[in-house]
Amino acid sequence: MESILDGTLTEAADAIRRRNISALELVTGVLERIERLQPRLNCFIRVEAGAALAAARAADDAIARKDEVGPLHGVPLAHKDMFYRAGKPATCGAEIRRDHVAETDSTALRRLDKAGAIYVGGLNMSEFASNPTGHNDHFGHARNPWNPDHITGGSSSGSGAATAARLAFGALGSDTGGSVRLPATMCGVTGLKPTYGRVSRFGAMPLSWSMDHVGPLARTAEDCALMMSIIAGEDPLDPTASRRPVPDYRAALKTGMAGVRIGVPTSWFGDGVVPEVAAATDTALGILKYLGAEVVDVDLPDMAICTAVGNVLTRVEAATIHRRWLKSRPQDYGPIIRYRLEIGLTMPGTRYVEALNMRGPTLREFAATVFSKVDLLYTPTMPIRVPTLAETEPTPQNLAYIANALTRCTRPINYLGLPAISAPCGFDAGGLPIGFQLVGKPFGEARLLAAVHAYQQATDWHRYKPAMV
Amino acid sequence: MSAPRISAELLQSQVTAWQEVAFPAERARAIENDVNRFNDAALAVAEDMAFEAEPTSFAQALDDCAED
Repeated sequence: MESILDGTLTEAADAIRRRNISALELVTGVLERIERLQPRLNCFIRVEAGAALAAARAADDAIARKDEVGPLHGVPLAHKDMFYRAGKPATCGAEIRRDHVAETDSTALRRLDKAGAIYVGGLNMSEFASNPTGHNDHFGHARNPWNPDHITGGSSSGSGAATAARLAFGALGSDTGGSVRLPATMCGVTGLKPTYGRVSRFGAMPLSWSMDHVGPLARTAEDCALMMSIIAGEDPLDPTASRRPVPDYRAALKTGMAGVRIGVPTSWFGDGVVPEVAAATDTALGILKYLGAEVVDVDLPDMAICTAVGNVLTRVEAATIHRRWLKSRPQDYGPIIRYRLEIGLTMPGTRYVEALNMRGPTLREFAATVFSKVDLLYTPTMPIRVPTLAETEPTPQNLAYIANALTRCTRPINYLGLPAISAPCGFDAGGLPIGFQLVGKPFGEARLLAAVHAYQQATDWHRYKPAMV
Repeated sequence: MSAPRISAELLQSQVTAWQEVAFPAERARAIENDVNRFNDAALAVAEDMAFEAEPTSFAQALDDCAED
């Protein structure tokens, strides 16, 4: 039982299908762990134990009847508390939405339901998905399972912590500047931000229409491939969802690294990288090279542009979404998000239009400069060690410094809309995880997943679990 | 190149008038530097591209640059 709880999503789904374990046993085991660890981690905003147990019994009945079942049949998942389910709460980590009951179903959630997944509860997150540390003054801060004094990363704080602590086999997150990849790296799990438009955002709380991406956090690339094979694809309810066919991500895992060209940036991404992160990510790069990748240096366009102009989009769009509440309920926002939103109210319309107009040409320039030479770009996910909650308690004075330090490697990728994956590759001297990031061509998720899968077949960082588990 | 400086007083009056959000002067002063920093960063590249950048679909650019 313990070994299945500690294993991967793929292994758990196989175990249920083969009747090595029942859905009820698996869900019961996860709920017991949640009861034990939630007081220390605060990674759930709401646990739906009764509904999960009922769903598990129904899943076992279906197996007993030999019904045809989906690829996630009976597997417990939990999701950032911003994916709507009609008639159910979705707090968005915010006081303003504390009692909100959703009226629609998130497409991503609906697809996971249809695949047989069992929903265990809503996960903690930064208020309105708006800060990269995971601090939350309304519902309490989620804690890092590797050391509860440290941040989980955000904004999908509970998604990272719950997946790492084996309280869910995988979780949905959203990523506007790094919010899937940062909690993935800080909690030692694998997280994929897909290409803009690859996964429908319908029924997911918007922060910034141009920069939001929905993606999975799980223990392995294989698990992320499984989740992506279910949630990716066109959606008539989301006009920004791409109509490109979805590849077979699981089949593509076998393609390996032979002949794959990996570029190491000569600028931006190496700035400010601390020695422990540099050492771990250099070692991981060496393993990818050993597995067959060709590694070359690659010059980049000015990434500061992507960060700065992307911030204009995020600020203005978020302020537009929140203007009604900024007018009527300003006191119900935490001071940091209110500060960040107010900046958006002040940006000239011309800046916003420029930021939108530049996006296509900037992507084309980046692709011509980088992807004419390499298939993947390799960077640390985060240049610094995982900080403590106390070190990163945000104030208007230190907010820019903290955000820049944490999101330097992730934020510019959102403006470009490119897919990017974070995977664990070691630990710092304090026992907190370190991760690397691979960035791919648009709609190149299959190659990213295959690269990390090859790495995880050769290493076991993804198998480590926090001592408290 | 720097964008024209935007003052706290202008921010306050614009937000209050255009956005209908109460925006006390002290809050405007607190974010004045951030707004000008964003403006500088955006303007530095946007002006050069203003006549060249087509308002083409970003989705089209993603498709054109996609993995084979």
